[in-house]
Amino acid sequence: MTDGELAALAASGDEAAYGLLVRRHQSRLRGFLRRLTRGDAALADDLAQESLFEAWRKLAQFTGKGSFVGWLLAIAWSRYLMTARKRKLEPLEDADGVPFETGDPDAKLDLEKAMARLSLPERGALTLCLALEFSHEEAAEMMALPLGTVKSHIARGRGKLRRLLGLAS
Amino acid sequence: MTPPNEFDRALANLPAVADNGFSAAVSARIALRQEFQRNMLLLAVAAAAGMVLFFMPLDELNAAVGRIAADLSNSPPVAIALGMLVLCGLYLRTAEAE
Repeated sequence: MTDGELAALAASGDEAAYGLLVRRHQSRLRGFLRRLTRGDAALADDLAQESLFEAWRKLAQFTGKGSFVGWLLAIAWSRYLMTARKRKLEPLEDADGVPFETGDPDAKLDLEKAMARLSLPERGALTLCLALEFSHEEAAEMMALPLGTVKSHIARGRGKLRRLLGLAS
Repeated sequence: MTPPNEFDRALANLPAVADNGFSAAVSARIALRQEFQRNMLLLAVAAAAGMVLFFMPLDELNAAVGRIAADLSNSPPVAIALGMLVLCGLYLRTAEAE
C-alpha cells in the first residue's frame, strides 16, 4: 500500500494505517532531526514524536500533492526552528556573518562531527538534498526558503565540509 | 579521514536509526489522545444533558411532552394528514390484492 493510500486511511481515523506510516518513516525522520540537533538523540526523538503527533492531527490537510515523508519532514523542520528559537539553541538565520572556524587544519573529523559545525540551514539543506534525495525545489518548499538560497546553502555547506574533512584543494 | 572520491557517497548516507519501540510509543500516545478526546466528548454531552435536566426538571418535561401530544391529537390538520395516510395505505393494499 502506498503512503498516499495509508495517509487517506489514517485521515479517516485508522490508527493502524498511521502506525504503518510511522514505522515506515521513523528512521529518516529521526535521522534528519539528529542532524538538525547536532546528534542530540533525546531532543531529536522528542521532536520526532511531536512532529508525528502534529502530522496525525493535520492529516486532513495533507493533499497528496507531494510525498508524505516530505510533508512530515517539513513539519519536523518547522518544529525544530520553533524549539531552537525558544531555547536559543543556535542562530537560525543564514550563517554569512558568522565566522567559520576550521580549527587545526591537520585534524580530521568524521562526517557527523563536521556536519555539526555547519549552520542550521546548511545542515538542513544538505541532509534533505544529498542524504534524503529531495530535489532543490522540494527542499526549498519544505524549508520555506527561496530556491537560490537553498542552492547557496548546499554549495557553501559542501565547501565547509570539504575543508573540515581535509579535502579542500 | 574521508577520501575525496568517497565524499559524495558519505554525504548521501544518513545513518539509519533503529526503531527500538519508538513507533509503538507514538502509536500508544495517539491512541491515548484519541481516547481522551472521546471521553471529553462524552463528558461534554453528559454535562449538557445534566444542565438541561437541572434547568428543566423531569415533571415539567413530562408535562411538556403531554401537552404537545394532546395538542397534536386535537389538531384538525394533523387529523386530516393521518386520515390521508390511512386512506393511502388502504388503497395501496387493495391495489396489491387486485
